[in-house]
Amino acid sequence: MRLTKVDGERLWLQVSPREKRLLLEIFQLYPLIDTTYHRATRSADPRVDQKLLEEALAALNRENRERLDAFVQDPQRFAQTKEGCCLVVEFQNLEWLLQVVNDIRVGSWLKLGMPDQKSEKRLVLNLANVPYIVALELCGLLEAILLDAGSRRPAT
Amino acid sequence: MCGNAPLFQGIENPGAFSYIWVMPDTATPSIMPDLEQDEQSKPKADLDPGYLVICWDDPVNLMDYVTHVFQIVFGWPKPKAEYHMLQVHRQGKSVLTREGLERAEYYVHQLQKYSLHATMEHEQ
Repeated sequence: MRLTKVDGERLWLQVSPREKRLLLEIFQLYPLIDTTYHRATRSADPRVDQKLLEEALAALNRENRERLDAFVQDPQRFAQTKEGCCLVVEFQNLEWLLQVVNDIRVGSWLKLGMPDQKSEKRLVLNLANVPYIVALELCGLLEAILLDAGSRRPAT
Repeated sequence: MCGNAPLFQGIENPGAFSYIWVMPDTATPSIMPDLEQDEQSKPKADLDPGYLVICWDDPVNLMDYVTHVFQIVFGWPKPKAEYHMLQVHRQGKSVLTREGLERAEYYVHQLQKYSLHATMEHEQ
């Protein structure tokens, strides 16, 4: 997966057939972060605030899920160019897509038991974990490319 | 400032405003209600600027991603965003801003939309 072109409105990411298939499968994982992950910290009755926060996040997740389905099903989303297949992303979708991709990345990390080098919390590798390891790594790569593309966007 | 002639310049029928001059010679003293500050109608917490927006470290979010999110959410230049990102990374957390309740809530929610671990605390 590599960035091949950026103009004022969109970016083109060259993807192999295998990467395209993986991306489509990974997008199916959204939303992966449980709504209880974020904690409300506002007032004297945190239970009420927590419930409101979880409801707001659930509504956001539903909205993003619908938007992601429309995004993936857009016939212009994967374009055939002379370099091969390209994922085409409009800059107006960039921030939203970063949020979605990072949800999948952080959610995968949670599913993997929150491995952490600092606390020596090691990743336990097994067959059930493999999809989340792939999602964690691929989403990290996609995020890095999207951020790089954003910084290369020419002024319009 | 005195005089009223310029007020009617350009008006075709200034007599239409003659009622303005039919006023009692002495004004009756009236008691005006006390003027109260508008802030008193708002909850006190909304006005308290002592809510800290804190971002906490985690081992999963990419450093460039966190910098980018700070730039987008707070509109910061990259050096300032990087400074706070490194503070999160090295010290475990960074106080990003100090705001009133509603603004602080807004920022925390924006950071959570990007899956960052953010909380709000009342400054003691």
